Amino acid sequence: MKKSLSLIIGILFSANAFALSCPSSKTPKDVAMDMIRAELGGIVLEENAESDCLDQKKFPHLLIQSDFSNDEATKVDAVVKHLEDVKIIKVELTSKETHSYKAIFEVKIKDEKTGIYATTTDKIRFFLYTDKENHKVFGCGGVTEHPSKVMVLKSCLPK
Amino acid sequence: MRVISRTLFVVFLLMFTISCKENPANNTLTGEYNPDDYKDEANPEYEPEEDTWLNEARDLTQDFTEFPTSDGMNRYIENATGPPNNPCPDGMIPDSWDNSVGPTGKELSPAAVGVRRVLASFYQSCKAIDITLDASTPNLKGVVKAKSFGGQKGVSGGYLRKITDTNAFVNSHAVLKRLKGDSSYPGKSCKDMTKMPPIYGYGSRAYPNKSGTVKIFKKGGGVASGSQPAAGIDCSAFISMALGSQGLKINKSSGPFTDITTRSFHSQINRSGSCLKKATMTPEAPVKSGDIINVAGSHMVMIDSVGEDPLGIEKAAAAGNCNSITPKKFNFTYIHSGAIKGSYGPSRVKANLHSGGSMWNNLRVMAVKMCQNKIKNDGSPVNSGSIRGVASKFTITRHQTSDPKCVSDKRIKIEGEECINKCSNLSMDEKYEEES
Repeated sequence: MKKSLSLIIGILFSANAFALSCPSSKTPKDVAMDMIRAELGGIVLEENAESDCLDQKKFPHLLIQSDFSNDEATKVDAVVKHLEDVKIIKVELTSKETHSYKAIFEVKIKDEKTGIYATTTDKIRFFLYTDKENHKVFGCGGVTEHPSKVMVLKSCLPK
Repeated sequence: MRVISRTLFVVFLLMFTISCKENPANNTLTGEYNPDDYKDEANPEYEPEEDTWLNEARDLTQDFTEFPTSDGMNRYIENATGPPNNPCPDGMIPDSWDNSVGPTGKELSPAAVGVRRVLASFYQSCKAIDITLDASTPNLKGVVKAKSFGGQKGVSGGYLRKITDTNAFVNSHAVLKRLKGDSSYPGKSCKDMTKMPPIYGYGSRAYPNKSGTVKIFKKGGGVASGSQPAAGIDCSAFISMALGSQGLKINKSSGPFTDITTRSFHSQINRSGSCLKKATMTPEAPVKSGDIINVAGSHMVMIDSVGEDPLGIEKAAAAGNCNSITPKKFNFTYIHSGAIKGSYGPSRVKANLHSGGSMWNNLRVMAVKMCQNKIKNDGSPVNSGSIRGVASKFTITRHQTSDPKCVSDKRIKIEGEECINKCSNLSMDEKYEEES
C-alpha cells in the first residue's frame, strides 16, 4: 500500500512529460551531438519539416526549429548510414561571454554526387542557454551555423 | 488491488491532462484586430500632418481658387515619391529622415520606405503595412507545395506552391481576410488581390522592363502553372525591388536596380565601391529601420519599425543576466517575402514570432555581447563581423544612403504602386508597442 501511494505521489509530482530541459550533467559535447542528430534528421530541408526524424519527443533537450533556406533549393549532399558513424573530435569555446562553441566532427558518408564512401570533417556552431527558464522553452541552446554539407541519415531521407 | 488500479488509471489520465502544457515557445500572443491601431484623425497628435497636407494643397491650388496644374501635380508626386536627393539642387542627400531607434512618428529610412512600398503594392493597399504576423497567426490554408506538379518542376529542384482554394487561402490570411471584409477595397485603379493573392514562390523573380517597371502580378517560377491565380515572389527578389524602388544602389558603379541573392548580397559587402556596409551597432541603438539581416544561402529580411529595447539588451543588462536574451524578447518588426506560416510570402512580421533558427540565433548572440558591453560600460560599437560566436554568413547591413553616389536619380517602378503612393504609413514609422 505504502509503495503504491509513493508511486502515485511520485507520478503526481513528476516533471512535465513534454517540457524541454537541460540537465546540469549535459556537457557542450552532448549538446553538440543533439544538434548534429537534428542536422542528420534533415532540419535544413524543407521536405523534412514534418519528418518523424525531427519529432520533438526525440529531442528532450533541444527545441526543434525547421531552418530551411528561403533563397536556395537545399539538396542532400551526403547520406550517413548510422548515427554511430558520427564522431565529435573537438568542442571549442569560441566566446566565453556568449557561451558560444564550435564542434568539429568526423562522419562517414556516401557522397550523393560521386557515390563514393568517405570520411569527412565538418563543424557546427552553437551557443548554450544558461538559465532554467530558457531551458524549459528552448532546451540547452541554439545553432548559429549549420554544417557546410547537408548530411542526412539514410532512414531520414526525404521520401 | 482493484481500487489501486483504478486510482492509478485516474492518476495517469490526470497526469496526461496536466502535463500537456503548451510549450511556452508556442504561446500565442494577442493578435486580435484592434481598431485603435488605426490613426484617429481627430486626435490632436496628428494635426501637424494635416496642417502640412493643407499647406501643400493650398500651394497646388492657389489657395483653393484653382485646379492644380498637371505640372504641379507631377512635381508634387516626384518630390513625394522619388529618391531622396531629388529635391536637392546641389545633389547632396538631405538627412531628412531619422535612422534613430525608438521614437515613434519618425520618418523611415529610404530603404524601409522601399520595402513598405513593395509590400503595399503587392496587396494594393496601405493597410498591409499595418498588419503584422506573430506567433498567434495560424498557418495558411488552401495551399499545397511539392517538388513538381504534373510535368512542371520547381526552380533548381525547389518547391512549387499551388493555391488550390483561393477562398480558404484568403479567409485564413491575416491581411487578405481584412481586405476582403473592407467595403472600400480595392481602391480606385487598384487590383483586387483577394482574387490573385501574393504568395511565397521560390524562384519567382521580377525584373524591370524597358520602361523601368517591375511586373509583380504574376506567378513566377515558384508557383505552379495549375495554381489558382497568385502573385509569387521569393525573399531576395523582394528585397531587390525594395532597394530599387528607391533608387538605392548596391554598388556605386551599379544602376538603380540589382537582382541580388542572399549570397551575392553577402559578397557585395566587401567589394570596392559597395554601398552596403555592416551596420554599426551599440547597446542603445543596435538596429535601425532599413537594416538588412542576411544569412548567405538562407534568407534576408529588412527591419521595418523598431520598438523600445529592440533586442532586449536594456532589460537583460539591468537584471545582470545577458544570457537570458532570446529571440522571443525582440521588439521590432521586419518585412520580407518568406515561407512563413505556410507560404505567406510578402508580409510584415514581429521578430518575436521566432524561437530560433540560425538568423535569429545569431542576432541573439550579438545582443548578448552588446549586453555584456553595456554592463562593463564599454560603449564601443560592434558589427556583425566583429563578434566571436556569430557565423560569418550572417550580416546586418545598412545602405549608405547618405553617400550621393549610392543613390540613383532613377528608380524602378513597382507595378500597381500608383494605388498606394499616398499611403501615410509609407514613410512614417507607426507607434510600435510591445505586446504583453
